[in-house]
Amino acid sequence: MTHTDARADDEKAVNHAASQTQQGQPDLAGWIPERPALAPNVQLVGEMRETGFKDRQWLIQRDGRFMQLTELLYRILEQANGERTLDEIAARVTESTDWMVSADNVRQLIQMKLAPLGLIAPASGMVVSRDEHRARSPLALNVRMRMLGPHLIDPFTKVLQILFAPPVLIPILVAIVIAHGWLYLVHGVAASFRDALYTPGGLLIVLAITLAASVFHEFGHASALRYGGGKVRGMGAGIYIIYPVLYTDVTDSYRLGRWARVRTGLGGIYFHLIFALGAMALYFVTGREFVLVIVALINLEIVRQFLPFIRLDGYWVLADLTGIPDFFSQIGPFLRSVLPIPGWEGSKLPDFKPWVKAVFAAYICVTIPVLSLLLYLLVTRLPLIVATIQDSLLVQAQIFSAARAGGDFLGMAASGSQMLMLALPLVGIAYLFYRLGWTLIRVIRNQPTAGRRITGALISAGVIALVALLWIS
Amino acid sequence: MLEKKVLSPEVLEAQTAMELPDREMMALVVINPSGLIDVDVDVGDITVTVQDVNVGANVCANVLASNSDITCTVTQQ
Repeated sequence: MTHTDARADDEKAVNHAASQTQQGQPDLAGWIPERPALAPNVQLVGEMRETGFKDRQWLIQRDGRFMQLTELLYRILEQANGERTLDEIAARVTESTDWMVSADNVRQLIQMKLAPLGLIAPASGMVVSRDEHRARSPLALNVRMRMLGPHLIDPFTKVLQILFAPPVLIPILVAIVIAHGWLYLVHGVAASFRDALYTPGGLLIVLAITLAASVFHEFGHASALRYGGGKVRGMGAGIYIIYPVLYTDVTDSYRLGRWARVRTGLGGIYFHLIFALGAMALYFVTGREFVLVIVALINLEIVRQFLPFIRLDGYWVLADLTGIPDFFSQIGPFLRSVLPIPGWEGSKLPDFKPWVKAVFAAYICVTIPVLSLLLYLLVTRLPLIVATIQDSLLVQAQIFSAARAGGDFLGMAASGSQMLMLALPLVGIAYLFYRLGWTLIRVIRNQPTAGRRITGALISAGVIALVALLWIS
Repeated sequence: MLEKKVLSPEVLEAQTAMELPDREMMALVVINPSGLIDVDVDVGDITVTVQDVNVGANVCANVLASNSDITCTVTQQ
């Protein structure tokens, strides 16, 4: 047997074993090295701080992605340096935990849990191959385009993080409260909207400034992360469900304590409010009423950001307050942990604290119907939405032509930006259905028996026929 | 010295490792373009509905320039 053949056989065996492990039949006995070592792409991070779990949880990074581990698994990884034998690892893990751990226990945990995930380097030096091109969930940010890297963001956040220091933060919050009280209780916003409508190009200016406020919002997250000791990974744009979004990658906040994570989640809203405060200051300087429309639009955006049903700021703040790392990806494992349904295979979560368990259950009970209703409305109204966007695009095209003929550059800019904004949700809708389709195909394909695959296909065909019927009628 | 607990098969089975998703803090860029706002242009007793606020503003500007006795207002629907 050649070296290449051996490597291929080794990898095949590991993949086979990994797939069997998922079905509860581990088979890596001959593969576990006598002196196990961490896979080269794995880094130990440390304890997850202030979580909602009963027992301590631990963090590692694999290829830059965080993984949450229970203590025994982490302790084994901690000791697996390629020099210690299974017996030595067992002795050290026994020393550092409440458990009496044997070499067999270590072998079993590596075999059942760590090796299938590619966290331990195999005996031959190969790493378990894994499908790294997993499809992203339709409820995750998609079509991500990173525009700013840490080297461009860090110089700004180095300065802006000062805004989170209590001696600065408290006076700003007081000023925000007073200014908003004045706007809504004394001055009002009706005249501001009227002024924005009357001022040629006024709404366009307002919208451009509102977009700038969204960028500032993102710097709020990045600055809060930095203030808490985390490192931002990038900023950019993408499509979330069907809407265009700006985003900041604050994945590093998993390493932080509860309040630093909450601060990172609220940082965007705090910066949005600072921007609103700036707009009100601009009003006092210029006397232009329409500037105050920006404040009203920012406040509406803040209300929307607090909705916890999709991954906006409110979602992450709620997750961090409860100490649940992520609701959506842990719904399945959570339900498997609390509902002992026979035949429902898959990973389970460690035990949550009772109050956290209650919050998670309530969240599922509210969110699943809300998201199902939103999806139903989107699907059933899709022909109407597409037709409306198409009509609006045609109207905008005419307005654009008229503006171009008249040399009206402001009009051209307005209708051009409107056409772009109208086209983006269309792209988002198409992408959402593409993702949902692939998710469905993957779920059906992964069913363990042919009977279940056929049943899944028939149910899907029925749903598609029903949707088609709704569109026609 | 504390007595160590023995690892049962259930405890071993309960050990978990799961990947956490990336955390992306998002701000929706949902702009309500001015052209999509229907507006009423009231010229005296006549009401004209136009789609673009700029068109409405231009109509009023022309009306007011030609006859200052007529009132002209733009109202968002």
